[in-house]
Amino acid sequence: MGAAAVLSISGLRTEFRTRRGPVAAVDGLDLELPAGETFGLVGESGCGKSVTALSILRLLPRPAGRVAAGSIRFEGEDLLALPEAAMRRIRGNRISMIFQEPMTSLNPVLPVGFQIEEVLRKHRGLSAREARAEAGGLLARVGMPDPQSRLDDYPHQLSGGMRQRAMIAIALACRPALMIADEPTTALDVTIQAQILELISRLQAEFGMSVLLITHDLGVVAETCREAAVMYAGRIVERAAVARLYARPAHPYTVGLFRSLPRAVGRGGKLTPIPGTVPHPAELPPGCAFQERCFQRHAACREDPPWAEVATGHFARCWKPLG
Amino acid sequence: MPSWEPLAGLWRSRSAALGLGLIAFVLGVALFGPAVAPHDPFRTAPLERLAAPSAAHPFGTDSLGRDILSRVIHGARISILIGLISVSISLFPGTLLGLLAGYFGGRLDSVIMRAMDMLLAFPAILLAIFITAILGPSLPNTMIAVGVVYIPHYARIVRSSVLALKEQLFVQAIAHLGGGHGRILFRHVLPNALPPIIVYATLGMGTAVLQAAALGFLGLGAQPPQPEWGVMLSEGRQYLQIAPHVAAFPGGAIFILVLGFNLLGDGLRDVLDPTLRAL
Repeated sequence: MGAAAVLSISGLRTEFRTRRGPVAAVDGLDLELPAGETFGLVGESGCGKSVTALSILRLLPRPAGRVAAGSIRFEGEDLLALPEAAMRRIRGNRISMIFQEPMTSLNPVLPVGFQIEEVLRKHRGLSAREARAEAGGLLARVGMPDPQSRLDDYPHQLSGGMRQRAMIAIALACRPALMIADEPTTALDVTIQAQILELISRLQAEFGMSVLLITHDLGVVAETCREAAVMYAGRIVERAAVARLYARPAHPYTVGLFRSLPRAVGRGGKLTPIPGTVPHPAELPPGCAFQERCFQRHAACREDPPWAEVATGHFARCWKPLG
Repeated sequence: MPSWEPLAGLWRSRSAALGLGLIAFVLGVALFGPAVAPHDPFRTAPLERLAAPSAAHPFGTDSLGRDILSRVIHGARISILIGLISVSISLFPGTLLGLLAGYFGGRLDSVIMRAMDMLLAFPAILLAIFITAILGPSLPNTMIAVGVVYIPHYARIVRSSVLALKEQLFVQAIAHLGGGHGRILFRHVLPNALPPIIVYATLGMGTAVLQAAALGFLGLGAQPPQPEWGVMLSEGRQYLQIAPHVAAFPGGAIFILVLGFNLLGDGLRDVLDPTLRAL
């Protein structure tokens, strides 16, 4: 973890009001994002990955969701303490975001060029003409064929991959320090997926920005990240350099994730799913949230497991880490 | 650059083209008609009263001997104005209320929409009569009354579009990119909510003309001797047996204009419906 952190989250607890009272979607999350790297945040649906992203940008659905505790420090400021106007200057400017659905994340009635220019005009104060030139340049950098004439195209005239490129151009427009990519390739064909991931990696290096890649796809993490964390039921359960994580996963949940992954090599082997389902956040057992699905649970699991360093830079929240 | 291409579809639909043609015709009459009208619409000629259509008076004369053709021509301007002004009176506040109610939701939504429900609880014509009775019968008050009556319709249409739109990823994406409420609401949500209200406003022009004519007919709208079509219809009613042309021509004029707006509105709906639009 040599590099300084661009974003550090500590003790984050995000609650949602439900009929059964407040429920924590994220509870006690600590995360240091290394600067100038791509960091993977892995977990299955409902584990709190996207809620974490929304908490960082302070865009939780109101009034149901709120951050109940914790701090999120970014470029020396606590984002949770900033006034809304200051927060708006950070969104899309210092921290930007790309989304899962390139089909619906662009406004259908405005040309893509306009949507890129809008961000440039608002955050960087460019004139209409400067913004247009810059937008063309951005489309070229994200590998859009024939960028100048694409500026006048409407989203429905672009393919899914091209829309995601346009969305990335919007996210890059202000040279953000941090780009949050929430499942950026899930809705795309595999071949396009690879292109988009390659593009994100290249731009990350070119701009020297940090990328928080949120995904449920371990393959995506392996291709793009140097380090990754695994999330389960609102907490980080394991964190390590990607090579280490794949070679010697320490948390039983991570082990289960790898076992349920189909492999292209070899044949005949059965997939081993993790038994059961993610518990509802309102019905978490005391202690380790994973105990009921764990193949090595024992008495100690009813107590909160420690955040143990299994090896240098490799942490797991477990009483009996493997690896 | 905004594309006008979809509007070319209007020409391909025969009924929409006919509607556009009818409106263009009435609009032309409203703009240039008064200059070419054969007679002064207010000049009475007691000796020629209730004359049947002839070369001198192609539409005949009314009970005071006024030339009906000239009066219908002058009435076109009034009716077009009624359509435009009363639709504006309902369109702008209705759209704004619908945007605010749908976007912010919660208590604001309840307050606005319950007020709209109260207006909707009255039959349209009854409410319009009620408003003109309070404000006093006159042409401007008719436009206000007809406009106010239809505010809830626009508010409801816009609100339902906004409710769907604000959950769309691109609207949320703008918030993620640092856009404020004003930018989201007016630059991104509003244009996406426009097509249904364009259609409704076009159809609404026809309804407004009809409502205003009805108020005129009841004596609550434009006042004689103004050549408003509803008023003329009302005056002609008494002579329906002996001189049907007095009521028939203003009635026909109302029919043509309202038909034009309805055909155009239907055509616009087909053209603007995104599920029917080809790429």
